[in-house]
Amino acid sequence: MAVNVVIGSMRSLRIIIVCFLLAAVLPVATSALGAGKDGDHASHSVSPDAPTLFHVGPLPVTNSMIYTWVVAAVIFFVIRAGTRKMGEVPSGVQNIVEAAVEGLEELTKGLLEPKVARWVFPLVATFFLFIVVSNLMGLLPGVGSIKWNGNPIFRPPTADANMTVAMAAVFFVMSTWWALKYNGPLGLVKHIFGVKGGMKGLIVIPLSLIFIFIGLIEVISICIRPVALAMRLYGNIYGGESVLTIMLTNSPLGIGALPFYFLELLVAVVQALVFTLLSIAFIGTLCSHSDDESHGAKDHH
Amino acid sequence: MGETLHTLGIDLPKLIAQTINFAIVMFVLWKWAYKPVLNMLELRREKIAESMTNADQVKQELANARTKSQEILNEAGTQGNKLIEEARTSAARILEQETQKAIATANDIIAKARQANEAELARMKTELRREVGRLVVSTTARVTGKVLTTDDQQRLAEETNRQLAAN
Repeated sequence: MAVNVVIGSMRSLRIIIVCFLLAAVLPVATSALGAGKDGDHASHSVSPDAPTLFHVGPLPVTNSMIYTWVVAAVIFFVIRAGTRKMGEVPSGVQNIVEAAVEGLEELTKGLLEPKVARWVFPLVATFFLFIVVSNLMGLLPGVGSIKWNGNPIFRPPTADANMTVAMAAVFFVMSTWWALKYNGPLGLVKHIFGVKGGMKGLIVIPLSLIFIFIGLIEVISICIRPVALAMRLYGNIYGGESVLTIMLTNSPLGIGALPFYFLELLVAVVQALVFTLLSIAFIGTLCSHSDDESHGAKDHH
Repeated sequence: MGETLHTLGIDLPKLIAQTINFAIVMFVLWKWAYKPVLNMLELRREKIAESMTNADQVKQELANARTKSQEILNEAGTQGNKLIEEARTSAARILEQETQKAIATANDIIAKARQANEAELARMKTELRREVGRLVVSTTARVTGKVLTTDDQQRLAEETNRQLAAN
């Protein structure tokens, strides 16, 4: 029995390695062939902004928007395949969907209070799933290399600052809302500017000045958080795209990009995890009574 | 600031469009992934908890049944032993009664046999005396050569009987 399991897992591992190799080699080959045809390296540089392909009325449609729809469609079909006929004993795609959802739920519950975790889970889980799928699908052959009117048709959504800023904006609005809901308006002000450490008496007067200053720094930090989230993700993925494009077009047969594809596979997952974990951690700093609770516990003792 | 935003391609319509796209993805995931999966996980948790409770109950019931069956067995054993003891006592009593009855019957038989024997012996003795008397009378008549009278015969017979009784 155990031997069969080991053989099965080794076979799965082999399939995964082959898939990774294919994922890494195919884009190299296709892009290198494209580069050979054009022979113009400058035209292969990735622009920092996502180019507009066409307009629907007044609304511009960029290549990253198109790929966002593709990513959304892929996510939709995968989850529908996994949850259309759910059985109590999971099988096939249901296992993958359940593992992903349960894993993210456990992660959120492990870092936040249960009440806050329930509010936050759909958003942070969507951050992770959307970012990881976008990043990985951004490494597929054709993304960035299939062009229409000189512009790539597909661009990973996370390599477009509009998408990362949109996600960060959603995070900022929702985290502020949850912070208000959790602490109340006065409670939030007290949470940010209040004297911490359970100090009492006259010492509070000079300390409150210091804590007001610290609170101001905290407010700046809270405002910078979404910018940091958005720019970190955008910078990493856009940077990765740029490196891949440069290595594809500036090395024989684009073979120089091969190691970077493996690196980008890692970055794709790590960046999704970083965005998600930081979102959870930032929300956790605003929605927690750990300071009060520790003092309460101390007083109790 | 404006130049940076322009370089990165950030402008309001695209930002709103991407926000809507993200919201759609989130809605899709919420509607068809999180909700059914979390419901299923909750259902499974409840079922597992229920199964565990049931298993505990079954275990408890099994333990109770085992205790009860053991008690019943012990009781049955005690009752069996009691019955065996009673049966033994009863059997011993019956054996004693029957033995006594048999002894009494045997003594009775022996007494009857002795009586019958004695009666037979007395009868045989009487017959013998009579026969001996008759022989004595007959022998006397032959030896003396005369005919004995009834009185003589009576007297001889009585004398013979007396002599036999004395011996």
